[in-house]
Amino acid sequence: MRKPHYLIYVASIFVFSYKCLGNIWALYHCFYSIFIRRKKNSILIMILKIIISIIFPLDIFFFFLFAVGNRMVDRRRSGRHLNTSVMASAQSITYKGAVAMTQLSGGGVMAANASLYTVLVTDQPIERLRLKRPLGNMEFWHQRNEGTDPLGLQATHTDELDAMVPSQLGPGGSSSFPSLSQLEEPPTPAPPRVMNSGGSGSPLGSPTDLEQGLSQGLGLNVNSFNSNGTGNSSLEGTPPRKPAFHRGTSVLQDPGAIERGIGLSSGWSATWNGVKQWWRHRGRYKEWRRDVRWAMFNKRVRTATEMFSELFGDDFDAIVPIYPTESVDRVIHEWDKAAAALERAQMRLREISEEDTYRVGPLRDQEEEKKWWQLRKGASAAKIKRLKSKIATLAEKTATLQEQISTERDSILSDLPSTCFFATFKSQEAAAIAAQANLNPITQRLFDVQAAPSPDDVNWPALERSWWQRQARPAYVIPLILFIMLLPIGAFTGAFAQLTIAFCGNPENPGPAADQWFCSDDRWAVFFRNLLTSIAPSLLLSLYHLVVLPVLVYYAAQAEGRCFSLSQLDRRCADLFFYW
Amino acid sequence: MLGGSVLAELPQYLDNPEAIWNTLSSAIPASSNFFINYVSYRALVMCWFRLFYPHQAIVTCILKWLRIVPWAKTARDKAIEAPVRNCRYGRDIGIPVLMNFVMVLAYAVVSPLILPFGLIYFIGLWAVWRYQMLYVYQRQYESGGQFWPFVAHKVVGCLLLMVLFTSVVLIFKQAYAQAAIMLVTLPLYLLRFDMYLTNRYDAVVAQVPLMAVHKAGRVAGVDPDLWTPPPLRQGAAGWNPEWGKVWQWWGIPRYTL
Repeated sequence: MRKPHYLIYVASIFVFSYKCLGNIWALYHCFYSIFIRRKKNSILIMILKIIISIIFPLDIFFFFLFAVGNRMVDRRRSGRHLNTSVMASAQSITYKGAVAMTQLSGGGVMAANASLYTVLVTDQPIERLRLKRPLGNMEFWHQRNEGTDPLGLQATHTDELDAMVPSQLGPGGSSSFPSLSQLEEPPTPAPPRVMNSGGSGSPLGSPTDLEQGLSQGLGLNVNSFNSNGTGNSSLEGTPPRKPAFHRGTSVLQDPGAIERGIGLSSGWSATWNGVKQWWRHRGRYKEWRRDVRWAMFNKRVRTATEMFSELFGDDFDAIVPIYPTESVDRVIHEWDKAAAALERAQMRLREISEEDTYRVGPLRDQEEEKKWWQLRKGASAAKIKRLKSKIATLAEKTATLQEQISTERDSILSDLPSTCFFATFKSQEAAAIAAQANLNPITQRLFDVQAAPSPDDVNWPALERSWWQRQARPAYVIPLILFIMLLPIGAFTGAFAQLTIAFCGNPENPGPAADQWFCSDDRWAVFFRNLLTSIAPSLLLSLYHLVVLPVLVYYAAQAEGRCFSLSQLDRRCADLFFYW
Repeated sequence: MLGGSVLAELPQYLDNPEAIWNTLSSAIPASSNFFINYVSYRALVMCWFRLFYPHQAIVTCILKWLRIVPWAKTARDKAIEAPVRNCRYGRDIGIPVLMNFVMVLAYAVVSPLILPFGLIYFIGLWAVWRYQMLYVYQRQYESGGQFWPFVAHKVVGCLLLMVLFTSVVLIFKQAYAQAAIMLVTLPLYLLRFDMYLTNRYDAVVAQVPLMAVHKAGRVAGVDPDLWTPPPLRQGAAGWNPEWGKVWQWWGIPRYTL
């Protein structure tokens, strides 16, 4: 942080100089009114102006305080008091949102923003597009009837639904759903064609190829979907998921069953299917909806992996799912508060210990000194005992909270991810093409691909919303936006000007507080009434503009859930302020 | 601006509807006094006040300097004692810039006296903002300059509001020909200009040119930690109480309904 420029002081002196000139004029006017014009209410005017004239020169004093305050802010933020190792880790390339490209000769690293290698895949309503064939003999490659229909276009019964979704959650929140990195290797030794760039023939052949492609294309482990299988180890100990594909390849042969089984077909059949499914699962609606969401997520991830692998081959890196953060964040906040209290108690304990080593004041009479030290040690001993007890309690609390954080994080990472996810690539060209293309299957709409925001620009709460929430939430937020837009704050503050009349009334029609001191003719009562009607509205309006309105507008913009990046959210706030 | 004028004279309109035209034709320019006062107040007072009170931490530091509130002692407390804040672009562009722009432009023809005060305000605001961007605020996110196109289009919107407002005043003053000429010509020109801005500047950067990335370096892989929010990383690395917020240390909640 740079030091404040000297021009700030020059400007401040200029501003306060003309204010002081105004004060001098006010004093002269007061003198003129009292002693030359001899006005009747001059005494009150004199009192007011003397008060103002005393207050305003204090502006000079306050200016220095503000300047000092700014310097204090600068000094405290200079970083001299911070732990450098903490700062160093926070400066690492990953936490700056960059990906290392090459090593430089001087030992540095050439890096690029990670968003250049990443796209954001957001969900769209799963729909089958009824496209008519333009030419009679044209056949889409994925509709070849080789007993496979990896993209789910053939009809079958609905029992295969269970193979694709977690049938039951195990203890500790773990699901029986497979970890796709643990898919069994197919019997054929041939390399998976879905991962080779420029593969020939049918892009998606046998289900075994698909499985193999999934396992290597996704490269999923429990907590990260890194194709190198070198994801972070933040979740050691998370129970692995069992591969559901082993229950039979019929699911892959006919994933279309999933659509009908969970009512994802389009048109009137979607409504009828939905009703049938609701009736079938009426006793376990929540679990059924959860299974549906799992199925939809897996469908999108599977399809995205297939498409990206087919189109970009080796350039496709991995899928990174998005998980909700609120529950873990809440526990971390509690831990942070407890850790701060623990550190303060430890600091206080150290201070007390250091105080005991110094004499305070001059040497006293021996008897008095002995008594003084006894008192002091007694007091210190009691304090130290209390502090130590407090430190022990806080240390235990922080340890408990740390365990809770780990448990909660494991639980979240084992559970249902968000409907949106990131897809990373190894080349910027592949990411740029993916962000500009429609990568849905030919007859289906599943997701929308766009360029990812910068890692420090991601609005995580918005990425936890599904397409339905993104469509419906703006409607829920409209009442708040209308309230903000239509609130007549000017009229409300203007009402303050009428407040005294409301309370005190007039001589013909006295108000409810007419007999109170506030409504009397006492000079101080008049002064306070004038103060209320003149300063209160301006103060209220300023507070509303500075504090209340920005928070309300931000809340409305964030609650809409449509801004995937913080910069987009900021522009939405600016939009709402503009319309306001 | 129109509403204030209408509300102020509402009883007269109810008693004598025929007087609406005559009354409004004088009330609207008369209401410009308030806006001239407001713009001059912002130019001469609030613009500079912002220098002395950029955010609430100033008051806290002064109280601590006066020993009314104790200074922080632990490293954790010191880190958040005078936290670095980022500029609330949404609020600062929406209100101090665009709202005042609308006011100054709308009365530019009806009451030209507002123009010099508007000029003083924006010159002062430019200086103050420049200083604060350098010495006070620290950016929290990087958008790649996406606010500039936003402001450019909104300025065109402000000009459109100016045309509409001035036309209404001309209509109330029974200058129908002038109002018609304004309404027929200027909005079309502004729309054309807005389309020009979109085609010339927005469209060319909407997607990255493929040739620019065709020979860009390849990487072995992207660390998934980059796309993992801090609470879910190993050791919650990168977490701080204001992580992921668009306005840091301004008292906004991270999660909403």
